[in-house]
Amino acid sequence: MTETQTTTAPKKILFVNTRAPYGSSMARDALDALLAASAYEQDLSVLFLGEAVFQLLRNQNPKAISMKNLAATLPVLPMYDIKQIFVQKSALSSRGLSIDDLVLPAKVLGEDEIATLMGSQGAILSF
Amino acid sequence: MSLLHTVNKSAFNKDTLLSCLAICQAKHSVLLIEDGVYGAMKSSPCREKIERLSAKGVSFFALAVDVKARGLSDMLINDVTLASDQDFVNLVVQHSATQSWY
Amino acid sequence: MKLSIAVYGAPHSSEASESAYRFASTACSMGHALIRVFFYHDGVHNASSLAVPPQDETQTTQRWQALALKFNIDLVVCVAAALRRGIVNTEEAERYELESQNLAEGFEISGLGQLLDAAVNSERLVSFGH
Repeated sequence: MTETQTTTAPKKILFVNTRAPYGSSMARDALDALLAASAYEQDLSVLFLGEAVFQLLRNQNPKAISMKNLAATLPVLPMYDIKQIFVQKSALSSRGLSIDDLVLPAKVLGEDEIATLMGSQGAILSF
Repeated sequence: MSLLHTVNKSAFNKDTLLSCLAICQAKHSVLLIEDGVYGAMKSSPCREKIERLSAKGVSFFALAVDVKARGLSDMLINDVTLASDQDFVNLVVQHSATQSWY
Repeated sequence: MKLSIAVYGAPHSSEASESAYRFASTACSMGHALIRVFFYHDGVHNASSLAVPPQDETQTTQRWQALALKFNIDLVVCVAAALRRGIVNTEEAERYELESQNLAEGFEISGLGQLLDAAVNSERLVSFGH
């Protein structure tokens, strides 16, 4: 593999999630990528848009569909130093959800704030 | 910093483009690729939003090869510009980051 | 500019691989440095040496190989996604006592961290999904 030089200043990298859990593996794959990324000491943020807010819903129990519980893993994010966690306000409200329904603390953002968040990133990983 | 959005789902059966447009601001660009080019049709459910955002400074593009593949060349909203593969690369380079909606 | 690409779609099943290849090929022809193409999720199928598209259809794996050779591009396949989908190199085939290996030449199996590494060390990263 080509040798790459790591830059010294942490880069702002945003993980954008858009999928509900379980129906596709994208939610799980995104989480695995995020956890792997935490080892690289960059300035990581994660944003849950649209259907992805369902990833954060409490009381998930996918055992009978032979899948790993996504919501059981998500609360470890702060332990991996991933503390900048954002949720789309309109996605919650259009689905009849509030912040109290979620398994981990997240900052609720309006559309303009989301645009600002995305615009401030060095790279966006879209899932 | 300005964003490039790519959208590859048709606006007629998915809300992907709608979700993208909700985040768009002036100086952002939206590039419709693959099935996303259907969203650029005059009959698109997103036509009004596209025209409104275009007036506010959002640039709209549709990847020419995908438009041609689908037979849509004469059916596009005026505010949407055909983009070549080179234009796609240039758009990525010119914007601070790319959000891919798929 | 230094660019990287993430590919999440399998050849044939979606247009993601086609769009990604054309972007990669165009960027290289324009003189940009394509640091890495990272294959994740269903994108790992681009790296199979066992796929046999009909003669009159796109030879996806081969054209990635040719592009990588011509422009010295890292073609990296995520090990976890690859194992799940049965794309294995010799090392993994031996580790799991599998019948054979099928990672196409020119592709390299590596960890998920290589995606973040690509994002860190490129000036732009574009994702192609389905």
